[in-house]
Amino acid sequence: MRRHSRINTIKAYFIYGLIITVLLIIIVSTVGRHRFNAPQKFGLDIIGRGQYVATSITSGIKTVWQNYIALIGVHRENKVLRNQLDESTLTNQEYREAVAENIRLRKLLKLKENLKPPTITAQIIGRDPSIWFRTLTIDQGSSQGIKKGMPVVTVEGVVGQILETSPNTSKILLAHDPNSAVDALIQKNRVQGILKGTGDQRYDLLYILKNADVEKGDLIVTSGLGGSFPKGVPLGTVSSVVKNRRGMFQQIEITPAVNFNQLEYLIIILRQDSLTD
Amino acid sequence: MPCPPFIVIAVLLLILQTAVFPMFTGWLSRLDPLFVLLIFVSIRLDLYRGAIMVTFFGMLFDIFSGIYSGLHPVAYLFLFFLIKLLSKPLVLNELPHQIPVVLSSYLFVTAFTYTMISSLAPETATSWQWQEIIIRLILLTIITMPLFSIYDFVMDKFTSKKALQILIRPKKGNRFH
Repeated sequence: MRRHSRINTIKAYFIYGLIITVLLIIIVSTVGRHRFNAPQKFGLDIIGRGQYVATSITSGIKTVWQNYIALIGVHRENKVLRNQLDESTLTNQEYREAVAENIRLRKLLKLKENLKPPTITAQIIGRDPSIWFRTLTIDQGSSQGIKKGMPVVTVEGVVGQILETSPNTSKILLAHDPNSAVDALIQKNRVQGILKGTGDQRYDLLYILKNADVEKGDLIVTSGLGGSFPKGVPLGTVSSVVKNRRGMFQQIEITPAVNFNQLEYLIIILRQDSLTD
Repeated sequence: MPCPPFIVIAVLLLILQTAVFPMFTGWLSRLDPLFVLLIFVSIRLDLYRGAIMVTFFGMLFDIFSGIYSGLHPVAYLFLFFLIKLLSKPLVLNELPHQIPVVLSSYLFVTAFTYTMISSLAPETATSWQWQEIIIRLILLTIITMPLFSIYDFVMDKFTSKKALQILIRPKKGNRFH
């Protein structure tokens, strides 16, 4: 009887030991990896489909509800919008004139227009729920030509970079994540710096010398250096400048050009050679 | 056999937490029912089933959250063994302990993740966000007991004799013939 219970105890210890060893092997093999392995890609793809369905249903219900709510006070809003439209039509005519003049001048100067790289539009299907990270999941993946490191933008400006891909889903590292850094320049004087995410709805612009002329409201764009982002894409505007007595650099805070809470559709710039490859 | 239903629940909760809740700004985007499931599994399941489940939850969460692979499985396994270590002397599976266990576990995982991120990439360290953490703790306090009841109900359903009879179908006819 005692011998039987001892065998059972040894058996239990052996099973627990084996399970813990297998778990440790799995964890050690994944810790610190910066690329997804096959099961992770499979998981991203399968659950990504679930996210797509859930997002579609929820956004459908939300749209119907918002449209219903929007009917209240629509007449008053319509009047205001008509006035705004009249003003905008006038401004638009002036802009059209300016664009036409710009094109004529470009032709005169014989400037060769750069061929723009192809783009793909993607819908956001998931957001990172944790406190410490800022990532997104989209409904387009490597089957559509998306690769790690490709830039993600909207019409307003830079959103982030592709972090991981599976055949039909991709994960994006947002530009305001603390792990994100983008080569940037101040548009008015071409002074270069590094734009770093803070985790909040703002960036820090680093390595700008104290003698550089920076003011509140200055536009910050991508520098094109590093090869990841095309040149001149808006990143944000300067919201505060602090010149400390000590140190070589200024402390500059930037308000992002995009509102990260209101993103829905994104544009991925399909560059031929991603730098991270 | 309570593992497969909890795997399905975990996947559904992950989809809810990553795809549906973030579409609504405010408190709903901060709800974390998956974390309550993690604690439930840590308390209710035995050592080897619980360890497998929490590792699976961690790996699942790793795909959709963060940029470092393996961070969540390590944090969850640490927490799991801590709960198992304290469950006997402190009787953690009793009803009055549910909320304190969930809250202290959430603080532990958050602090562990923060420390790991800070040590893996010190240049990207962010400030500790008390306000955000407290909001999430309050929400966890509200949802813990109802969710524990639901998970208990699911567990009872799938460990009942009837469910086991369906899962382990007895062979027809005389097997001792």
